[in-house]
Amino acid sequence: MGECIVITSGKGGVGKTTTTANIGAGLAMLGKKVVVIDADIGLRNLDVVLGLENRIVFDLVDVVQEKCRVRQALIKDKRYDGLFLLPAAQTKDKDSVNQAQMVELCNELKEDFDYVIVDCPAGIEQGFKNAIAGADRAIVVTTPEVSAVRDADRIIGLLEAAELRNPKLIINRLRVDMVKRGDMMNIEDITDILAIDLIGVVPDDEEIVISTNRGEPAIGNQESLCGQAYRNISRRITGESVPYLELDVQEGLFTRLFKIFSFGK
Amino acid sequence: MSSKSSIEFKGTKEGIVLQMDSELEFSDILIKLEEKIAKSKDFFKGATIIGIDGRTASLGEKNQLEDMLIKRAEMSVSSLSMVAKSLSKSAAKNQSTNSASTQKAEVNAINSETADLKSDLMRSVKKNDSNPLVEQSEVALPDVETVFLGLKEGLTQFLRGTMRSGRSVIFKGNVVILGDVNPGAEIIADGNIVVMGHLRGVAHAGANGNHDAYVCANKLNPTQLRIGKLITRPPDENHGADSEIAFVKGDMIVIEPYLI
Repeated sequence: MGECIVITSGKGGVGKTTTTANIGAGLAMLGKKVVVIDADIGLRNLDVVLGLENRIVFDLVDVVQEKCRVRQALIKDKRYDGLFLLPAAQTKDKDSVNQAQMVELCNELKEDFDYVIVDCPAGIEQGFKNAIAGADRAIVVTTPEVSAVRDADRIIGLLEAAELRNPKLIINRLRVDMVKRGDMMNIEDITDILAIDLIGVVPDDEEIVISTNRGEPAIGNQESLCGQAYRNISRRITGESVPYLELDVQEGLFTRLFKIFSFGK
Repeated sequence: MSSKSSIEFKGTKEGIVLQMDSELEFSDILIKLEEKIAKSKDFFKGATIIGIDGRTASLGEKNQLEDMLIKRAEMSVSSLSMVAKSLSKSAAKNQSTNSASTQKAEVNAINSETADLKSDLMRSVKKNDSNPLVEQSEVALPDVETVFLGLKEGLTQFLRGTMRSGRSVIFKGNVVILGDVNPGAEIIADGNIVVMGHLRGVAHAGANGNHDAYVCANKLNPTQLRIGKLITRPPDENHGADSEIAFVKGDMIVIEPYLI
């Protein structure tokens, strides 16, 4: 029996889809069987980020409406063994699926996969409620901006109300040079407000834009800094039973980040 | 109280009363209500809601309730005010004896004789929730909406945990928060507000008109601070002092450390 994790943020454009794609690929690299679900019905793009757009035949709505079997809608990623995508429908809207159907779908997928990762749409309406319905735990993505942190705070409150306790936090697109100058919120500022456990920090990196446009998850690039960050996050997701290690790895990552940046100058 | 009974639709002669658990957060109530509607949507379709019971609702909360009842359950809503005692008698029997609901029951008891006459008035006036003083002067309900006087000793609500964006705490008494109040959250109390943590959201003490009420916090850094009818915002530069108290001096809100 696998585990269903929802990646959410409240605000749009903070990197939920990129994070989902990279964590999905990262877990698959660790030998897990993973399915990533695009719950952003009507505005799908997880398929584009993963470079699987041209292989979609059936989608999530077809599965839920029993027009096809789950197996038929799943798209296998050829680069990563064990990574599958369940794409969203582009021609429908969020109301074509309800919470009970999502719970059923997630439970069905959990039987065959180690991890079911749901890419949540922005906002707090039906799409959000659907996405979190079947989740066992949640990862909240934010960027070091006041507006993104504010929305993340609201989302954490809504997750807690939905009995999804102890969500984990990913701070995305951090620019260490700006933090050093005091022009950007630092990690302490953010964790101070949100008061949840950090599971990783992803530095701002041009590589993400390049790899997203190419449809290749950045995690596959061994040289890139953000790829390393996503690999670490993926490991932390699997090794959740060792909480001390998480923190250690976190500090390790940071000192590494700082070193790399200071050598670069 | 079990989760099943936290939201009930109670049938009365006049129509349906929405019975809510007074201990639940409003966000939970919305969730439960949505579940309830999802389960028995067709049953309630077309029915009329004539009021709420068990818990008061602010104007914003009423709007949300109305929205959900009309859009999701396709019910019609004639009012979302607290129902008078005579209507809710059957519902009240099922109420547990927790302090908030007993207090409401007492208030209802005071009003029971005049309730029927005044219920219509109350409904129209309750829409003015944001300005309780107006309500008092226009209707003069006995002992219901007078200024809260229990600043030294009185009804107090204790809340534990971080109050996050979107959370709204409204209480007819003092409020103590054991945790932070984040930006986007609002605490509205008729009495004092004490935050054992970082106050970053909106705090309104003495909300029904007591200017002796105060707001204090381990870190007082609110988005906006209101005491009685006065509204201030903190200076733009962050002074970062610990343990501060805000109170009214003359016709201004002043802030000073409470530990010297």
